[in-house]
Amino acid sequence: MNRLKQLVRLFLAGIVSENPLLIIMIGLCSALAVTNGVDTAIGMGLALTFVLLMSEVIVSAFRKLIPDSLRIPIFIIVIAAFTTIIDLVMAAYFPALSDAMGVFIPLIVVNCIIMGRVEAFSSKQPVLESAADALGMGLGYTWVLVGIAAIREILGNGSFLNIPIMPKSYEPILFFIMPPGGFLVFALFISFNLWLKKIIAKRAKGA
Amino acid sequence: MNVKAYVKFGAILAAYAAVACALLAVTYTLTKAAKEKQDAIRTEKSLKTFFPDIESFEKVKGFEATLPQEGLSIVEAYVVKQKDIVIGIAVTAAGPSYSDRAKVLVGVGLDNRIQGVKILEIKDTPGLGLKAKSNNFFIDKERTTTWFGQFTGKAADDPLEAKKDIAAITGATVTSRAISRIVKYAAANGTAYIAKLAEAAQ
Repeated sequence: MNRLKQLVRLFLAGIVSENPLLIIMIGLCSALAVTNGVDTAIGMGLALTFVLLMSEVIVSAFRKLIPDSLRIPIFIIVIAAFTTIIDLVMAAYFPALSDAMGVFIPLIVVNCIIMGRVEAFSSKQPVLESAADALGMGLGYTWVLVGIAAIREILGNGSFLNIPIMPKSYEPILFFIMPPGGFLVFALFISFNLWLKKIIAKRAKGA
Repeated sequence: MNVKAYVKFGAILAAYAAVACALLAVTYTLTKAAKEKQDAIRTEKSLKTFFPDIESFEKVKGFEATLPQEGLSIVEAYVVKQKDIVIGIAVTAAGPSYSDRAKVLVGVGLDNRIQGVKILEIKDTPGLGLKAKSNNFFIDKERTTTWFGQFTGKAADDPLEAKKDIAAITGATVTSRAISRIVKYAAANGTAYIAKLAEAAQ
Protein backbone atom coordinates (compact mmCIF):
# COMPACT_ATOMS: atom_id res chain seq x y z
CA MET A 1 0.00 0.00 0.00
CA ASN A 2 2.81 2.32 0.93
CA ARG A 3 4.49 1.60 -2.39
CA LEU A 4 1.35 2.49 -4.29
CA LYS A 5 1.21 5.82 -2.48
CA GLN A 6 4.84 6.38 -3.34
CA LEU A 7 4.11 5.64 -7.02
CA VAL A 8 1.21 8.09 -7.09
CA ARG A 9 3.40 10.71 -5.41
CA LEU A 10 6.11 10.20 -8.02
CA PHE A 11 3.58 10.47 -10.82
CA LEU A 12 2.04 13.68 -9.45
CA ALA A 13 5.45 15.26 -8.82
CA GLY A 14 6.13 15.45 -12.55
CA ILE A 15 2.90 17.29 -13.23
CA VAL A 16 3.25 20.29 -10.92
CA SER A 17 5.86 20.37 -8.19
CA GLU A 18 8.70 18.95 -10.30
CA ASN A 19 7.38 19.78 -13.75
CA PRO A 20 10.22 19.20 -16.23
CA LEU A 21 9.55 22.41 -18.17
CA LEU A 22 8.34 24.80 -15.49
CA ILE A 23 10.41 23.77 -12.45
CA ILE A 24 13.41 21.74 -13.64
CA MET A 25 13.43 23.81 -16.83
CA ILE A 26 14.95 21.32 -19.22
CA GLY A 27 13.98 20.40 -22.77
CA LEU A 28 12.85 23.94 -23.49
CA CYS A 29 13.84 24.41 -27.15
CA SER A 30 11.51 21.75 -28.50
CA ALA A 31 8.78 23.03 -26.18
CA LEU A 32 9.01 26.55 -27.61
CA ALA A 33 9.39 25.35 -31.19
CA VAL A 34 6.33 23.11 -31.52
CA THR A 35 3.87 25.18 -29.49
CA ASN A 36 2.50 27.38 -32.27
CA GLY A 37 -0.16 24.77 -32.99
CA VAL A 38 -2.16 22.54 -30.66
CA ASP A 39 -1.95 19.52 -32.99
CA THR A 40 1.85 19.50 -33.11
CA ALA A 41 2.00 20.11 -29.36
CA ILE A 42 -0.17 17.05 -28.66
CA GLY A 43 1.88 14.96 -31.10
CA MET A 44 5.19 16.07 -29.63
CA GLY A 45 3.94 15.52 -26.06
CA LEU A 46 2.74 12.00 -26.78
CA ALA A 47 5.87 11.12 -28.78
CA LEU A 48 8.13 12.31 -25.98
CA THR A 49 6.04 10.53 -23.33
CA PHE A 50 6.32 7.27 -25.27
CA VAL A 51 10.08 7.54 -25.73
CA LEU A 52 10.55 8.62 -22.09
CA LEU A 53 8.42 5.77 -20.74
CA MET A 54 10.09 3.08 -22.84
CA SER A 55 13.61 4.39 -22.20
CA GLU A 56 13.08 4.70 -18.44
CA VAL A 57 11.54 1.23 -18.16
CA ILE A 58 14.26 -0.44 -20.23
CA VAL A 59 17.14 1.36 -18.52
CA SER A 60 15.64 0.61 -15.12
CA ALA A 61 15.10 -3.08 -15.95
CA PHE A 62 18.69 -3.44 -17.16
CA ARG A 63 20.26 -1.08 -14.63
CA LYS A 64 22.32 -3.86 -13.02
CA LEU A 65 23.62 -4.92 -16.45
CA ILE A 66 24.81 -1.46 -17.45
CA PRO A 67 28.41 -0.81 -16.37
CA ASP A 68 28.81 2.62 -14.86
CA SER A 69 31.46 3.81 -17.31
CA LEU A 70 29.32 2.79 -20.28
CA ARG A 71 26.01 4.17 -19.10
CA ILE A 72 25.84 7.31 -21.26
CA PRO A 73 26.39 5.58 -24.66
CA ILE A 74 23.95 2.83 -23.68
CA PHE A 75 21.32 5.39 -22.67
CA ILE A 76 21.80 7.08 -26.02
CA ILE A 77 21.36 3.78 -27.88
CA VAL A 78 18.15 3.00 -25.99
CA ILE A 79 16.71 6.49 -26.46
CA ALA A 80 17.72 6.70 -30.12
CA ALA A 81 16.17 3.30 -30.85
CA PHE A 82 12.79 4.28 -29.41
CA THR A 83 12.89 7.67 -31.10
CA THR A 84 13.51 6.02 -34.47
CA ILE A 85 10.65 3.61 -33.80
CA ILE A 86 8.22 6.46 -33.13
CA ASP A 87 9.57 8.29 -36.18
CA LEU A 88 8.90 5.27 -38.43
CA VAL A 89 5.45 4.68 -36.96
CA MET A 90 4.46 8.33 -37.36
CA ALA A 91 5.68 8.48 -40.97
CA ALA A 92 3.64 5.37 -41.75
CA TYR A 93 0.38 6.15 -39.96
CA PHE A 94 0.31 9.93 -39.31
CA PRO A 95 2.04 11.49 -42.35
CA ALA A 96 0.57 14.97 -41.79
CA LEU A 97 1.81 15.04 -38.19
CA SER A 98 5.15 13.64 -39.27
CA ASP A 99 5.55 16.41 -41.86
CA ALA A 100 4.56 19.09 -39.37
CA MET A 101 6.98 17.87 -36.70
CA GLY A 102 9.81 17.39 -39.17
CA VAL A 103 13.12 17.60 -37.41
CA PHE A 104 11.74 17.74 -33.87
CA ILE A 105 11.08 14.01 -33.74
CA PRO A 106 14.72 13.02 -34.40
CA LEU A 107 15.68 15.73 -31.91
CA ILE A 108 13.87 13.85 -29.11
CA VAL A 109 17.11 11.84 -28.91
CA VAL A 110 18.91 14.81 -27.43
CA ASN A 111 15.99 16.09 -25.38
CA CYS A 112 17.37 16.81 -21.93
CA ILE A 113 14.22 15.60 -20.19
CA ILE A 114 14.80 12.03 -21.33
CA MET A 115 18.55 12.00 -20.79
CA GLY A 116 18.09 13.77 -17.45
CA ARG A 117 15.40 11.48 -16.08
CA VAL A 118 17.14 8.33 -17.28
CA GLU A 119 20.46 9.40 -15.72
CA ALA A 120 19.09 10.93 -12.52
CA PHE A 121 16.19 8.62 -11.83
CA SER A 122 15.66 5.34 -13.61
CA SER A 123 19.31 4.24 -13.61
CA LYS A 124 18.97 3.93 -9.83
CA GLN A 125 15.29 3.06 -9.33
CA PRO A 126 13.07 -0.03 -9.84
CA VAL A 127 10.91 -0.44 -12.94
CA LEU A 128 7.53 0.58 -11.47
CA GLU A 129 8.91 3.75 -9.92
CA SER A 130 10.60 4.62 -13.21
CA ALA A 131 7.37 4.09 -15.14
CA ALA A 132 5.48 6.33 -12.69
CA ASP A 133 8.17 8.99 -13.01
CA ALA A 134 8.13 8.76 -16.81
CA LEU A 135 4.35 9.04 -17.05
CA GLY A 136 4.31 11.98 -14.63
CA MET A 137 7.12 13.80 -16.43
CA GLY A 138 5.61 13.00 -19.84
CA LEU A 139 2.20 14.23 -18.82
CA GLY A 140 3.75 17.28 -17.14
CA TYR A 141 5.53 18.07 -20.41
CA THR A 142 2.42 17.45 -22.50
CA TRP A 143 0.00 19.61 -20.50
CA VAL A 144 2.37 22.56 -20.52
CA LEU A 145 2.95 22.15 -24.27
CA VAL A 146 -0.76 21.93 -25.05
CA GLY A 147 -1.54 24.83 -22.71
CA ILE A 148 1.05 27.13 -24.29
CA ALA A 149 0.03 26.02 -27.78
CA ALA A 150 -3.66 26.65 -27.09
CA ILE A 151 -3.02 30.24 -26.00
CA ARG A 152 -0.59 30.90 -28.85
CA GLU A 153 -2.82 29.37 -31.50
CA ILE A 154 -6.05 31.03 -30.33
CA LEU A 155 -4.53 34.52 -29.93
CA GLY A 156 -2.00 34.31 -32.74
CA ASN A 157 -3.97 32.46 -35.36
CA GLY A 158 -7.60 32.70 -34.20
CA SER A 159 -7.99 28.94 -34.37
CA PHE A 160 -7.92 25.82 -32.22
CA LEU A 161 -6.69 22.54 -33.71
CA ASN A 162 -6.69 24.37 -37.07
CA ILE A 163 -10.44 25.12 -36.79
CA PRO A 164 -11.17 28.87 -36.80
CA ILE A 165 -12.99 29.74 -33.56
CA MET A 166 -12.60 33.50 -33.22
CA PRO A 167 -15.14 35.90 -34.76
CA LYS A 168 -14.22 37.11 -38.25
CA SER A 169 -13.56 40.64 -36.98
CA TYR A 170 -10.74 39.29 -34.80
CA GLU A 171 -7.34 40.30 -36.10
CA PRO A 172 -4.83 37.56 -35.05
CA ILE A 173 -1.98 38.87 -32.91
CA LEU A 174 0.95 37.53 -34.92
CA PHE A 175 3.27 38.20 -31.98
CA PHE A 176 2.03 35.05 -30.25
CA ILE A 177 2.94 32.79 -33.15
CA MET A 178 6.46 34.21 -33.29
CA PRO A 179 9.19 33.02 -30.90
CA PRO A 180 8.97 36.07 -28.58
CA GLY A 181 5.30 35.31 -27.98
CA GLY A 182 6.32 31.79 -27.08
CA PHE A 183 8.75 33.09 -24.47
CA LEU A 184 6.12 35.39 -22.97
CA VAL A 185 3.45 32.69 -22.68
CA PHE A 186 6.06 30.30 -21.34
CA ALA A 187 7.03 32.79 -18.61
CA LEU A 188 3.39 33.23 -17.65
CA PHE A 189 3.08 29.47 -17.33
CA ILE A 190 6.10 29.38 -15.02
CA SER A 191 4.56 31.91 -12.66
CA PHE A 192 1.17 30.19 -12.83
CA ASN A 193 2.81 26.88 -11.95
CA LEU A 194 4.72 28.41 -9.02
CA TRP A 195 1.44 29.79 -7.67
CA LEU A 196 -0.17 26.36 -8.11
CA LYS A 197 2.75 24.72 -6.32
CA LYS A 198 2.46 27.13 -3.39
CA ILE A 199 -1.25 26.43 -3.01
CA ILE A 200 -0.68 22.69 -3.11
CA ALA A 201 2.09 22.97 -0.51
CA LYS A 202 -0.19 25.05 1.75
CA ARG A 203 -2.98 22.48 1.42
CA ALA A 204 -0.59 19.65 2.23
CA LYS A 205 0.55 21.50 5.36
CA GLY A 206 -3.01 22.23 6.43
CA ALA A 207 -4.16 18.63 5.98
CA MET B 1 41.94 0.33 -17.92
CA ASN B 2 43.48 -2.87 -19.16
CA VAL B 3 42.87 -4.61 -22.47
CA LYS B 4 40.44 -7.08 -20.94
CA ALA B 5 38.16 -4.30 -19.76
CA TYR B 6 38.19 -2.70 -23.20
CA VAL B 7 37.14 -5.96 -24.83
CA LYS B 8 34.45 -6.55 -22.24
CA PHE B 9 32.99 -3.05 -22.53
CA GLY B 10 33.17 -3.24 -26.31
CA ALA B 11 31.23 -6.50 -26.26
CA ILE B 12 28.58 -5.09 -23.91
CA LEU B 13 28.11 -2.01 -26.06
CA ALA B 14 27.93 -4.17 -29.20
CA ALA B 15 25.27 -6.37 -27.56
CA TYR B 16 23.07 -3.36 -26.73
CA ALA B 17 23.54 -1.94 -30.22
CA ALA B 18 22.69 -5.30 -31.83
CA VAL B 19 19.45 -5.63 -29.85
CA ALA B 20 18.48 -2.06 -30.73
CA CYS B 21 19.19 -2.74 -34.42
CA ALA B 22 17.07 -5.87 -34.38
CA LEU B 23 14.20 -3.94 -32.81
CA LEU B 24 14.46 -1.24 -35.48
CA ALA B 25 14.57 -3.81 -38.26
CA VAL B 26 11.34 -5.37 -36.97
CA THR B 27 9.61 -1.99 -36.73
CA TYR B 28 10.78 -1.04 -40.21
CA THR B 29 9.40 -4.24 -41.69
CA LEU B 30 6.08 -3.84 -39.88
CA THR B 31 5.56 -0.22 -40.96
CA LYS B 32 6.86 -0.63 -44.52
CA ALA B 33 3.54 -1.48 -46.15
CA ALA B 34 1.73 1.46 -44.51
CA LYS B 35 4.54 3.84 -45.46
CA GLU B 36 4.39 2.72 -49.09
CA LYS B 37 0.64 3.32 -49.11
CA GLN B 38 1.16 6.85 -47.76
CA ASP B 39 3.82 7.49 -50.40
CA ALA B 40 1.42 6.37 -53.13
CA ILE B 41 -1.27 8.74 -51.84
CA ARG B 42 1.27 11.58 -51.75
CA THR B 43 2.39 10.84 -55.32
CA GLU B 44 -1.19 10.85 -56.56
CA LYS B 45 -1.84 14.20 -54.86
CA SER B 46 1.28 15.71 -56.42
CA LEU B 47 0.35 14.40 -59.87
CA LYS B 48 -3.04 16.06 -59.55
CA THR B 49 -1.48 19.43 -58.79
CA PHE B 50 1.11 19.04 -61.56
CA PHE B 51 -1.47 18.10 -64.20
CA PRO B 52 -4.89 19.64 -63.47
CA ASP B 53 -6.36 17.79 -66.48
CA ILE B 54 -5.24 14.39 -65.22
CA GLU B 55 -7.79 11.62 -65.54
CA SER B 56 -5.67 8.57 -64.97
CA PHE B 57 -2.07 7.62 -64.52
CA GLU B 58 -0.14 4.41 -64.68
CA LYS B 59 3.26 3.32 -63.53
CA VAL B 60 5.82 2.71 -66.27
CA LYS B 61 7.19 -0.77 -65.81
CA GLY B 62 10.94 -1.04 -66.12
CA PHE B 63 11.56 2.63 -66.84
CA GLU B 64 15.18 2.94 -67.88
CA ALA B 65 17.33 6.01 -67.74
CA THR B 66 18.32 6.70 -71.35
CA LEU B 67 20.54 9.57 -70.25
CA PRO B 68 22.43 8.17 -67.28
CA GLN B 69 24.41 10.35 -64.87
CA GLU B 70 26.79 9.32 -62.18
CA GLY B 71 25.20 8.84 -58.78
CA LEU B 72 21.67 9.55 -59.98
CA SER B 73 18.96 6.96 -60.40
CA ILE B 74 15.32 6.73 -61.44
CA VAL B 75 13.04 5.44 -58.68
CA GLU B 76 9.81 5.21 -60.64
CA ALA B 77 7.90 6.90 -63.42
CA TYR B 78 4.22 7.47 -64.20
CA VAL B 79 2.57 8.20 -67.52
CA VAL B 80 -0.22 10.74 -67.03
CA LYS B 81 -3.28 10.41 -69.27
CA GLN B 82 -6.42 12.30 -70.14
CA LYS B 83 -8.93 10.03 -71.92
CA ASP B 84 -6.26 7.54 -72.95
CA ILE B 85 -4.12 10.29 -74.45
CA VAL B 86 -0.75 10.84 -72.82
CA ILE B 87 -0.50 14.40 -71.51
CA GLY B 88 2.75 14.11 -69.62
CA ILE B 89 5.09 12.07 -67.51
CA ALA B 90 6.16 12.22 -63.89
CA VAL B 91 9.52 10.84 -62.88
CA THR B 92 10.85 10.25 -59.38
CA ALA B 93 14.63 10.45 -59.29
CA ALA B 94 17.08 10.09 -56.44
CA GLY B 95 20.57 11.43 -56.01
CA PRO B 96 23.11 12.57 -53.45
CA SER B 97 22.46 15.86 -51.67
CA TYR B 98 24.23 17.55 -48.76
CA SER B 99 23.44 14.70 -46.41
CA ASP B 100 22.17 11.38 -47.68
CA ARG B 101 20.15 10.91 -50.86
CA ALA B 102 17.23 13.10 -51.82
CA LYS B 103 14.19 11.94 -53.75
CA VAL B 104 12.41 14.33 -56.10
CA LEU B 105 9.23 13.95 -58.16
CA VAL B 106 9.24 15.93 -61.41
CA GLY B 107 6.29 16.31 -63.80
CA VAL B 108 6.95 17.12 -67.47
CA GLY B 109 4.32 18.00 -70.05
CA LEU B 110 4.28 17.24 -73.78
CA ASP B 111 5.73 20.69 -74.48
CA ASN B 112 8.86 19.54 -72.60
CA ARG B 113 8.19 22.07 -69.87
CA ILE B 114 8.30 21.20 -66.20
CA GLN B 115 4.80 21.07 -64.75
CA GLY B 116 5.87 20.83 -61.16
CA VAL B 117 8.52 19.65 -58.73
CA LYS B 118 7.97 18.02 -55.36
CA ILE B 119 10.79 17.04 -53.04
CA LEU B 120 9.68 13.74 -51.53
CA GLU B 121 12.65 13.00 -49.32
CA ILE B 122 15.51 15.17 -48.14
CA LYS B 123 17.62 14.96 -45.01
CA ASP B 124 19.63 18.16 -45.24
CA THR B 125 20.18 20.81 -42.57
CA PRO B 126 17.03 22.26 -41.02
CA GLY B 127 16.85 26.01 -41.53
CA LEU B 128 19.24 25.87 -44.49
CA GLY B 129 18.98 22.98 -46.95
CA LEU B 130 15.50 21.98 -45.80
CA LYS B 131 14.20 25.32 -47.07
CA ALA B 132 14.29 23.65 -50.48
CA LYS B 133 11.10 21.72 -49.73
CA SER B 134 9.45 24.35 -47.52
CA ASN B 135 6.07 25.73 -48.55
CA ASN B 136 6.81 28.91 -46.60
CA PHE B 137 10.20 29.81 -47.98
CA PHE B 138 9.81 32.14 -50.95
CA ILE B 139 12.47 33.19 -53.40
CA ASP B 140 9.95 35.68 -54.77
CA LYS B 141 7.78 36.97 -51.95
CA GLU B 142 5.41 38.95 -54.16
CA ARG B 143 4.54 36.02 -56.35
CA THR B 144 4.97 33.55 -53.46
CA THR B 145 7.26 31.35 -55.52
CA THR B 146 8.72 28.63 -53.35
CA TRP B 147 12.22 27.38 -54.05
CA PHE B 148 11.01 24.16 -55.65
CA GLY B 149 8.22 26.11 -57.37
CA GLN B 150 10.69 28.09 -59.51
CA PHE B 151 11.24 25.03 -61.72
CA THR B 152 7.63 25.07 -62.88
CA GLY B 153 7.39 26.37 -66.44
CA LYS B 154 11.08 25.96 -67.19
CA ALA B 155 12.04 23.82 -70.20
CA ALA B 156 13.62 20.45 -69.64
CA ASP B 157 16.60 21.44 -71.81
CA ASP B 158 17.25 24.65 -69.87
CA PRO B 159 20.55 24.49 -67.96
CA LEU B 160 18.66 24.19 -64.61
CA GLU B 161 21.75 24.99 -62.62
CA ALA B 162 21.72 26.64 -59.23
CA LYS B 163 23.24 30.14 -59.30
CA LYS B 164 22.65 30.30 -63.08
CA ASP B 165 19.01 30.04 -64.06
CA ILE B 166 17.92 28.65 -60.69
CA ALA B 167 18.06 30.80 -57.57
CA ALA B 168 20.19 29.17 -54.88
CA ILE B 169 19.28 29.13 -51.21
CA THR B 170 21.64 31.32 -49.20
CA GLY B 171 23.87 29.09 -47.09
CA ALA B 172 22.75 25.96 -48.89
CA THR B 173 24.44 26.07 -52.26
CA VAL B 174 25.27 22.37 -52.13
CA THR B 175 21.61 21.45 -51.59
CA SER B 176 20.46 23.85 -54.30
CA ARG B 177 22.92 22.41 -56.82
CA ALA B 178 22.17 18.80 -55.89
CA ILE B 179 18.40 19.13 -56.13
CA SER B 180 18.63 21.10 -59.39
CA ARG B 181 20.78 18.33 -60.81
CA ILE B 182 18.22 15.68 -59.82
CA VAL B 183 15.40 17.76 -61.35
CA LYS B 184 17.33 18.20 -64.58
CA TYR B 185 18.07 14.48 -64.74
CA ALA B 186 14.45 13.48 -64.09
CA ALA B 187 13.12 16.00 -66.61
CA ALA B 188 15.60 14.98 -69.31
CA ASN B 189 14.79 11.30 -68.94
CA GLY B 190 11.07 12.06 -68.84
CA THR B 191 11.16 14.00 -72.11
CA ALA B 192 13.32 11.29 -73.70
CA TYR B 193 10.65 8.74 -72.80
CA ILE B 194 7.87 10.91 -74.21
CA ALA B 195 9.84 11.33 -77.46
CA LYS B 196 10.22 7.56 -77.63
CA LEU B 197 6.47 7.11 -77.12
CA ALA B 198 5.70 9.60 -79.89
CA GLU B 199 8.12 7.83 -82.22
CA ALA B 200 6.53 4.47 -81.51
CA ALA B 201 3.07 5.89 -82.22
CA GLN B 202 4.03 7.12 -85.67
